[in-house]
Amino acid sequence: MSGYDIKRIDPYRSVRVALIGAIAVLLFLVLCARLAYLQLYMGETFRIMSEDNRIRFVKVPAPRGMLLDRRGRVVVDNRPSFDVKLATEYVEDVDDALADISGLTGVKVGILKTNLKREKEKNPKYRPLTVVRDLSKDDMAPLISRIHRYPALELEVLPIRNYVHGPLAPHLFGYMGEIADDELELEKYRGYRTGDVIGKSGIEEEWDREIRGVDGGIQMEVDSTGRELKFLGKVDPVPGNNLVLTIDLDLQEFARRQMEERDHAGVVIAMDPQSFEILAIVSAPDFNPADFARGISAKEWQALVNHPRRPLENKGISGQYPPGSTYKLITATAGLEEGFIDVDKKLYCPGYYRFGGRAFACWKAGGHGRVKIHRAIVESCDVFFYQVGNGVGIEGLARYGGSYGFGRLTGIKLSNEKVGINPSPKWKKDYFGRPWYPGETISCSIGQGYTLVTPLQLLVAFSAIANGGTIYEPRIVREILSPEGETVKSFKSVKRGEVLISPENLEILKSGLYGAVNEPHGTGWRARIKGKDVCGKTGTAQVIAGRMSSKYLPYELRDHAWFVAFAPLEKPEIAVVVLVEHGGFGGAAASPIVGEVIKKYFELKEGRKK
Amino acid sequence: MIRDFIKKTDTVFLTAVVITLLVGILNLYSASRMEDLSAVPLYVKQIYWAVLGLSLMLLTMFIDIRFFERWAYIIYLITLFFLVVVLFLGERTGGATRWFALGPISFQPSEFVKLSMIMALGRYFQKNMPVDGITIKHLFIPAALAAVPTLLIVKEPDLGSAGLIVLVFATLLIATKMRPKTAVTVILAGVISMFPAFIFGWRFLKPYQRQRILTFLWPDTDPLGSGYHIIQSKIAVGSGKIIGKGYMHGTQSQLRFLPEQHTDFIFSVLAEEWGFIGSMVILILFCVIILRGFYIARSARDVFGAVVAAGISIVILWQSFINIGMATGIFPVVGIPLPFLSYGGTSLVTMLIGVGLLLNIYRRRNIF
Repeated sequence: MSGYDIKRIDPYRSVRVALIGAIAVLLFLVLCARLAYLQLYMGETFRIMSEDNRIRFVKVPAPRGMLLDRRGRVVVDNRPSFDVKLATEYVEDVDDALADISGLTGVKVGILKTNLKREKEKNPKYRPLTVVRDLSKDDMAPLISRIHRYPALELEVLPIRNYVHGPLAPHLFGYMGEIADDELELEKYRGYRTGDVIGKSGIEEEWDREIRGVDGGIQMEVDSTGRELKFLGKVDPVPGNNLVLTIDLDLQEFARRQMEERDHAGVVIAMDPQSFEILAIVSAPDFNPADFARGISAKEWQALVNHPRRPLENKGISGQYPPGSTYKLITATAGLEEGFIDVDKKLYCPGYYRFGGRAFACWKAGGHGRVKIHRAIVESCDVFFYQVGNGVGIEGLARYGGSYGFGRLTGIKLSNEKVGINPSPKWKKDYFGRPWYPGETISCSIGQGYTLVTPLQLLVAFSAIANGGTIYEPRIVREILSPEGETVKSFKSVKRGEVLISPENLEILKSGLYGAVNEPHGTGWRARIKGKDVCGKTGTAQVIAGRMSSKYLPYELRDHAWFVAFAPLEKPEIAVVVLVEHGGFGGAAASPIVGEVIKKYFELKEGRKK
Repeated sequence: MIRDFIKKTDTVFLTAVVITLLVGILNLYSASRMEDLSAVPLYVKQIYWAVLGLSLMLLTMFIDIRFFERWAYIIYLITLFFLVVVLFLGERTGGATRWFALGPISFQPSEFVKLSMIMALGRYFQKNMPVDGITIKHLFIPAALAAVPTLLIVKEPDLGSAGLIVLVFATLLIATKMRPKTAVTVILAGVISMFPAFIFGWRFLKPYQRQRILTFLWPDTDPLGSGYHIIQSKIAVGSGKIIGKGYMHGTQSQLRFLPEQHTDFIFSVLAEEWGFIGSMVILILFCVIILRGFYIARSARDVFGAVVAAGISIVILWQSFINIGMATGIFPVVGIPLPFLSYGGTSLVTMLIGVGLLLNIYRRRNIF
């Protein structure tokens, strides 16, 4: 013991055991109390939370309803898309994994990387991310035989849109996309959730609630990395309702080809002027809806958005154009109804019209001489209508234009319909804050002023002339069918108004329209069909002021060509509008297409009778 | 011989330790059996470490306690040397260098430092403790003995271990006999210095360390980030209810919702599977070990033995309190392992050497 001075202090008293013992007991009582709180008092709550933790609900998307044409032929249905998903937490090196996937599927690594990046931003942590969408059948075979060697890879089968007849009517059908945050707040998407896929345009958007069905789900037990361990339960999805459209598959495809073959940008719409059911609606150029179903890349999207001919726009309802000479029917209606002219009233056309110190030219340099209303429509005399328009004034034009449906939505159940402009002094005051100048009425009376119409609005106006003056809501859906094929709802004509015109005056207009196609010097002679009595009106909407022939102008400054017609004269059953953007003179570019479509309509009708 | 061993050994203390150790391995088996990544399962590794630790414990038990007293400063300096070495040669994991590898095993010197510091303090007080208690001037060297390793560990950085050393040192001071005036001065100085220390300390903390403290205070603000750990652990503990979900049936642990479930949150695994009853059994075992440790300190034949026995018990006390406090959400997540239960070789071996020292002190309590 030498060297250790143990006597300096009693070792029993060198540490205060009672004090630290008390501290120890106190600390452990704190832990006891905490455990009692968590396990006894809050136990049930935490037990429920632990159940929620390990149970994952996997959405099983409902197949969207099919789209059928008016004769019940399927034009859009669904097909399975085979997607490859990668659970990134299970791979050590993501680049190596992507190289493997590229080897298995033949998809380039660069594309896989972009897909992965995009998915990462969209998805919560610990979810397998889709790196390849819609793998083709040939590429599937090597993958399926070897996928078991790659535990981080998962194959998912989802229903996506299948376009049975290719890009038949992409603008009408529309495309789909994930619901955006700002859309979630809209009234029309009440009840929708983040991650839902919705229609973003066309029928897919407007009729989304009918065709989306109800998503189902699978309950799986998962571990913390989201790996599925055990199947717990399932709720089957309810497929969406099917829609029977008013379009005719054959006529639609024919009309689409007409525009495609000529490489025109523009619109073809065919409608039954009695029921206002749309038989065909084409907007050119178009896009391939299958690209959207597969998932479009940012680059492809940018290319579509920035394309000068606007392939994504449904020009029939969203494009607004000056009506050009087709507007003369409104001017004529105003003149006749207001008593400024009658069927025999002659007005003189020397080739120009002087007003307010300015000469307004007629398209025919030498003038038409003294003409009545009939010849004025047939030969589309500008000076005649300058005088009528000036006579009834802008208020009159606006009132009759309004009764034809200008400046008002047609009411078609498609999104993004534009309203156009039916100008009046009040409109100009509201819009520009300036008064109306009388000279502006002159331009207006031949459709070159402020007036803007959508092709569908113009078609509605001419259909009203065809059917005796009644305006209905144009319809695109005839019936809603349940997935089992029972009718859920069928749609009837909805009347929206009457044109302010007497039956006698209507006959004057119709005979003018008949003459414009079928009489000598008629501007629409190219739409003539033997025995079908086509009635129609050309229009040339100026893009820039001036009388220079479109031949000498660059494409984007050339005039738009209109032709709008119905047939036959007695009991019309089809009305067609064609707009060719920058097509030059309406009679030349647009009227042959109208003629072809009407001819095809009757061919189809007679072919089916046999 | 066995009879002699039993007679001279604190069987209550040793039994409590061995039971805790066995429970720990069983629990680790449950916690790690879903882990298929490593070739040797963690519980098997832990058994190897336990065997090594128990051997070292027996060795420690039978070495004359005076050996440790004589070499206390040298042992202290050697562990400090390792702390310095680890700063330069250590393995970097998770932004900190706390480990270095010796052949196939990795080794964490900050664990050993706790023991060597306690022995150095024991040696100092053995020589410098007046009969009527220590005064301020007896505190400078102990403070330095604690400060050097603390600063080195802060440098790693391992704030949890550094804080633990400060806490153990402070508790040991409270336990040693001080003159009343000195005690009051020390406590006042400690309390007053805490405020500036906290304010200035905050600026030196790394963002993840600040985040941990903030997350501890408001865990729900960041449920998928740092708060995730605390929330998942509370769910695990709470969902065990009274009798637990059954051995190897804890959903939180088996499905790996629990983070760090072999080390920091090992208690949550046990609490989930064995419920309130199991948790109480573990608390009682720790209570027995700690209070028995204090009893050994009281019965030690000299100041060195008393200080070392009390010091080691205090280490076990704070580590178990902090670790279980972490798992139940009343203490920030600071990465302190639970003695005998958390996976970790150095921690287990250190603890068992500490147990060996306590048994050694108990054995020699009657020798004068």
